Amino acid sequence: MSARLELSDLHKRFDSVEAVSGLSLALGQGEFLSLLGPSGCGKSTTLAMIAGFLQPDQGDIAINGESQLRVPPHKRRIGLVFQDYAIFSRLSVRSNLAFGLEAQGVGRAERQRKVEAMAEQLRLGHLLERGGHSLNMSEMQAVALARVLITEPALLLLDEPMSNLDATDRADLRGELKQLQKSLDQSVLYVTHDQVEAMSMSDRIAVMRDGHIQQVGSPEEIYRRPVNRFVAEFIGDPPINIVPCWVKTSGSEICVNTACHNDLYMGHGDLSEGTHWLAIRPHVFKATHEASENSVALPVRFIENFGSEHVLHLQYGEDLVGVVVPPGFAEGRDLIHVSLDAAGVHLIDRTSEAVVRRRAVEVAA
Amino acid sequence: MSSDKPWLVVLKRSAVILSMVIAFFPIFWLVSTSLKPFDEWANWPPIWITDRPTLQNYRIVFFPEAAREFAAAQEGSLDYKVSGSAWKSFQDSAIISTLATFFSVVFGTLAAYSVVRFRTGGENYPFQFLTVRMFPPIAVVVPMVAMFSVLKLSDTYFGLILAYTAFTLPFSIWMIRSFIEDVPAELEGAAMIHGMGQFKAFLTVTLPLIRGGVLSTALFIFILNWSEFLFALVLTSGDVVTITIQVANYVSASSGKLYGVQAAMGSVSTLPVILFGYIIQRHLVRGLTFGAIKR
Repeated sequence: MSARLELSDLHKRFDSVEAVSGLSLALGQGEFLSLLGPSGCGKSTTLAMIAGFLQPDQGDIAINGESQLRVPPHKRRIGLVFQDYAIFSRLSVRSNLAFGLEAQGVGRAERQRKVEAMAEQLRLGHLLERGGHSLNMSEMQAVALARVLITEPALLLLDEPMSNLDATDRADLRGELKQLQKSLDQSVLYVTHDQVEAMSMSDRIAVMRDGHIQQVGSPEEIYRRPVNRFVAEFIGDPPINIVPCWVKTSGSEICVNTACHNDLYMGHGDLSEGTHWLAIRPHVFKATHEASENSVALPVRFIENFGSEHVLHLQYGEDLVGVVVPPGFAEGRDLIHVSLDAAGVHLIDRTSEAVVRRRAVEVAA
Repeated sequence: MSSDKPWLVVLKRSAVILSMVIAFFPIFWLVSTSLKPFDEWANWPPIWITDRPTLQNYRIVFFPEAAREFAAAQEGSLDYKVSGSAWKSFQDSAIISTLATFFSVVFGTLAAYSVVRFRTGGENYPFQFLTVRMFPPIAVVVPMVAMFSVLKLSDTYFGLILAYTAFTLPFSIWMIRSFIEDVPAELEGAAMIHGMGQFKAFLTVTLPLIRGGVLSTALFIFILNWSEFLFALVLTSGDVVTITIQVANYVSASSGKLYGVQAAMGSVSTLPVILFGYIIQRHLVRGLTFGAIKR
């Protein structure tokens, strides 16, 4: 039976470092929630506290409404796949899978049956008699997942489970994992620093930095409406462009100039005049071959080829900006005409780094 | 190797041979002396290998009547302990060394586990523990004698076992700690997540992985205990006799130190250590190459 998880006001300090600071987060039943952030942001510490390996200094961890603080790890009914998988290398794959059942006192015949069933479900049958020491990374990953799912955990924690895999295995696994999670209606907390993994699998994402949650929302929300510069920069591939801009206000109307584009009207708001930041997704720039009324000609510095699309890196004042174009668009050209619509750009306050204004959120894809 | 110049090879091999000679000479001399008759023990120039090998020294060690016979023949008197057999000292040493090693390694393993996994005592704790051992034992021996006599621990098995355990514990903790550190905490975590309590996870997952390290630590501690002299000397007074004390007792009023007898006893007392080392040899190698554990 899948579970709900509530974290409320968690704190954990290591010596002088506040690893997790006032973290509150709720995971619904059957939800796939990613904890996304750079290394050292406190996401693994959070995971260790949920699993019971670390005791929080403050705050509460509740599963289905019951506090887990006094429950030892082995009684929390949590499954955890470790980053390095922690396969018992002296045991066979079969014994690895049966390990949890055995520790829980499940009878031999039942163990046998469940191991076979799980091996079939995750297509591990051919590995069962192999030794744990002989597996490659992607096999270890699969065995670790099977070993944990076989105990039917109320809550599944995954700690960067793909960081040891190569790109094609990762892409395969993303799909499989998502399907599996849906079919089992399994509550999953997925810890990762890879925004592609988080975006592609999650129902919701919690972006974390320096022990604090920055933003929680659906992948769509996080992508389209980042709350601050950090989230804007962390999400999206190719990455968002951040350029300086100059804000003029008349009444409460905000008008923004950048190094190359002028008079972007950002609607009404309260913001000091002067230098701030403008965050622009690479898809938001409109690139053309011909000059138009509000386009500027920008020199092409280099081109990244992603097959289905190219990213032009153009000189934009003192910065380079990335602009997404169809393949072949910039062939043999030194200058590209680029226009910018205020819709879909994010105005970031230079001191708080919070996104203070954004216009219409629909972005030309 | 193949690219080495011939003179370099010769130099290297000479160095190896030289160090082997230095290392093995005391053992050779011990065994050689143990087989010499009385008048050759302290001969000058030294007799390297005797022409008249005898087992008399060994008989004196193990058979009281041979010792008495010898004493009578030499017109001197042997110490009363020497006129008894060495069997008891082997028995005493075996009991004390084995139990003290056992306790030291068991407590050492548990303490090391606590230090590694729970950061017990903070960052420098194991080192602080080790500094305890930097006291020369002679500095603490006098207060210990006083304490032991008040606590009625002098001249008992328990007293020496306690002293040996206490004094080897820092080594146990220090050595076993490094082996536990090599076992990823995740492995235990995985066992715990799958339904095992922490102690059971330690026993089933970690302990088998550090077995080699624990056994090499045990051998090291056993050798320390087996050859310990100072505590055995001052904390006993005749009821408990360890082999080191027994060796020192082979002194006669008329002839001074009985080198041949001491050598015979010394030769025999190295055997258990060699035997123990041989039995756990396989694990010793594993213990030393432990870093290669697959994560």
